[in-house]
Amino acid sequence: MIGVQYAVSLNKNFRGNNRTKVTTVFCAQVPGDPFPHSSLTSLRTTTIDVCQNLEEWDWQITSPNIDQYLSSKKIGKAEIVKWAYEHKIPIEKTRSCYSSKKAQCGNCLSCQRRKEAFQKAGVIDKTKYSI
Amino acid sequence: MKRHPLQIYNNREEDPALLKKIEEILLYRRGYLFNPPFKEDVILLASGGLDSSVTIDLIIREWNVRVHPLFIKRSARATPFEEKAFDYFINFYQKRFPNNLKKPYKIEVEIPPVKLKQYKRTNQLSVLGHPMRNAALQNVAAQYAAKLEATKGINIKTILTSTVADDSFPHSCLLALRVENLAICIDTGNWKMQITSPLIDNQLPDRPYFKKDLILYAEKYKIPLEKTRSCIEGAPNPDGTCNECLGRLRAFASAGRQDPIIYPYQIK
Repeated sequence: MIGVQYAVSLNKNFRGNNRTKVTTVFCAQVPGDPFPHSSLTSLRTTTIDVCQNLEEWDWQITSPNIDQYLSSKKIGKAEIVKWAYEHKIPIEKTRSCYSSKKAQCGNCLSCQRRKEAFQKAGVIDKTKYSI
Repeated sequence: MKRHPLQIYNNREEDPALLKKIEEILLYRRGYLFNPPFKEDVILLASGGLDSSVTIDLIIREWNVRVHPLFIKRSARATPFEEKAFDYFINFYQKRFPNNLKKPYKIEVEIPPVKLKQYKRTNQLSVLGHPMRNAALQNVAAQYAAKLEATKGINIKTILTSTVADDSFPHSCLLALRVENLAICIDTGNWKMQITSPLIDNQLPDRPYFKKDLILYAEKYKIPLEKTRSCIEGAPNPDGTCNECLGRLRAFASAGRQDPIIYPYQIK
């Protein structure tokens, strides 16, 4: 919802040029995300919700990792790690951990999934975990 | 949808074909659209306005529900005055229905965030309202439901708003409520959740209710409408000229009643 509200506020500055109007909000859900609100069904429902609320049916809220209209196959966390490695993105600087401490714990569900993804991708995990 | 002679029903997005499709998904998944929550706990989003202040009375009489009122301080200009009205009616109904009105809950959430209130359309607020406003309010209510279950063991599956049939924004119609209902069911994984307005839900008899119907209801049950706050402006006294005040005045006129609030132009 806030992503959409941000998009509407950005559109304030555009003057009649539809090419620059923001009507797409991307999230980064991946196939292995376990929550019901991380599914493609949820994203589709949110898209309808937004279109109906704003009375503009060109809005699209989706994740390029799981939307079959954007990619022929789903892009999992391991593929993302591999892609980042190949494109020299310092992925060890990203934050996955749920804890409030500076160092990532390495133990929470999110850290575990992160570790598994590195392992599956065959990429050395340079993240500094506290455990 | 029935029309009232003095109130043009103009909700452009109440699309019957789309409503049917959304309702088919809910029916496919759980077999019903809305079951009245007789003697259950419900959350009511209340603002101190005319509609929600009357709805408290209506749902308690009709369903004998236990109402958990939720007031969201959403950083609107009129929020302090809405809160004062909300407090008045909590006190009023705690005396009238001591067993049904539960402890109110207030939470401060900017909806929309103040920094994002910038719109290209100069008539955004009069035609469309704030983007995703009601959906965001209803999402907070769903989060409050989860908190009530976690902290007090109260199982809430019904979240009520007070959308009336003369509301004109796209986010204030049955279609918007059904879509939001669907979104909350999917997001929570709980298909028993129901988000609706008891004033317009087509699963209930004699609906929809218009604001003028609530005015007559309030008269019948002696609800002091002069204590409600409809005006969206930031002054203590309603100015009588904003869209909400005008809608209220039209509703009083169509009910054949005088608004008990004294407006500035009447003083002059």
